[in-house]
Amino acid sequence: MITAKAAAKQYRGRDNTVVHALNPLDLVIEPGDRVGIIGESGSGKSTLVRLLLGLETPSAGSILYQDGEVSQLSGDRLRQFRRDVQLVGQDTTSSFDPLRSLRDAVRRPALEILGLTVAEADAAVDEVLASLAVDPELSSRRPSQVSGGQRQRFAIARALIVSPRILICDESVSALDVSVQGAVLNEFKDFAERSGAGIVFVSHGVPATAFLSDRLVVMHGGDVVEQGDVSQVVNRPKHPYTARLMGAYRKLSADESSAA
Amino acid sequence: MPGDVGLRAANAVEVADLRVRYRTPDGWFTAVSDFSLTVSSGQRVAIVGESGSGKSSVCMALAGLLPLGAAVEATTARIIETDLTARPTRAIPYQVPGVSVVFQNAMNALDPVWTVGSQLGTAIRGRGATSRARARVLAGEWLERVGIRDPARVLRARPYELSGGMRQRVMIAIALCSQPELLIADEPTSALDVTLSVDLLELITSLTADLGTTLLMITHDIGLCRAYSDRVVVMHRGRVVEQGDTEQVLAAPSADYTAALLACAPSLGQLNDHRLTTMVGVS
Repeated sequence: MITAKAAAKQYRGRDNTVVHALNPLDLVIEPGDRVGIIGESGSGKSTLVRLLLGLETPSAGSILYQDGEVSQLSGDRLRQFRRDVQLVGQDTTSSFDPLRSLRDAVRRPALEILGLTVAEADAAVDEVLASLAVDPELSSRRPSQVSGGQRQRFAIARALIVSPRILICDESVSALDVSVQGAVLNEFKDFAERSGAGIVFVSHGVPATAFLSDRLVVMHGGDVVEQGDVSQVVNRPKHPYTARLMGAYRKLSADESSAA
Repeated sequence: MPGDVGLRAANAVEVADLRVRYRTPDGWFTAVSDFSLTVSSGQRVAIVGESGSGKSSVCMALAGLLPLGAAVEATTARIIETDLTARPTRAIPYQVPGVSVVFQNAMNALDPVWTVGSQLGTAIRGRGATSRARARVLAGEWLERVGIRDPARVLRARPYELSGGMRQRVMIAIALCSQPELLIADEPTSALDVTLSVDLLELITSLTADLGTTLLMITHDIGLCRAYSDRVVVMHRGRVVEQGDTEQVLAAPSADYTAALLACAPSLGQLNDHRLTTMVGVS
């Protein structure tokens, strides 16, 4: 459904130097896929997300939705793309209009992308909030009047209300307390199982990513250094960077520290 | 660098019945109550808890850095040689002598206008009479000590010209160059990647061990707490729910809250688990 073909992105940095944010990358994402993309700051994860969403144009290669170039989509095709591919980002505070209610934010894609009437959209909001076990009373509040975990659930509701075929989660739980992370991760997994949609889970946190993914893509310095089945990448990493990353987690885990 | 460790008090921190309140438009908000903690010199203690648990309020109170609108009360509050309860209030909060703090966000904690050399030099000169030239040399040595490979360049750089990890190393150098008795590290690596977190915690714990500095670390990361603390204090909603030897508490928590917190931290051992444990129902 989304295909990256040798997609690359360069930026012009200070002193006119060229920054290679993302080196040529091939990736195919279909509904039903669960792809985890891990890497640290500066590894190119966010650039990849922006390319997949059509928010930026690749400097070389292409990003295809079905068989059309994402950056060239317009009209009904663009609307279809926005319906099929949705994002849940990291910063829930800045992704909501502070002056409007949460209900308003969740309802908007239903009005604009699905073309529902206000009454139909409101019913859809209630339905999606119920599926996430969110108290519908909260939806009359403004974003600053709910906790970070609740706000993230509204961000998820806003993405799920159009029934996307592919959900892109960019550091979606990184800012949440560990007690809330688990619940949100479970909600992503439930959604994928219920709807058959694909999930692209992008994070620097390996355990959460591994939990949600069948396939892991490891990025480092703008390159994909390794990809494969999740248990292979976690337990038998091939690239030295991946081995170092998994080693850091093992160092902090129960079995290793007690042995140390 | 010669460490003039000298005589140290047996306990770096002795706090009993600490309460921290903030003045809000709706009246007083109590962030911390009934907090008691004794830390003997040279120990590494981690305070763990979620957002809103009061862990940062405790640490800022112990460092003397809470704003004027905050009220700190305690039956005992001795930090190194300072009695917090007998300390005069000033318009601008001032740090307790012998205490250094490493903050979570080095970008905000460092001054964007001055070079690293100038800020580190100021911290070194604050310790005692040292010429500017000598402070410069010591600053370079401290940068090497915190693992910066090209100290000459970094001394001339301003904070925004450095990576997040480098900035955090600079802040560690600034905090430790005064050879403090107590280092308070407030989520020192939570904005950083895990490989870097591990490197920086290794650095902090080895330098504090060399200097004989007591370490009080705030974190929400059970893994960091497990690997880098001797004792742990678990906080929830402004109160201590459990404290003790780190290994014991994590292996066999006595409070339900601690057990729930441990159970819901995702680990690499859960690849095939269908669902993650959540905290629903625990309060």
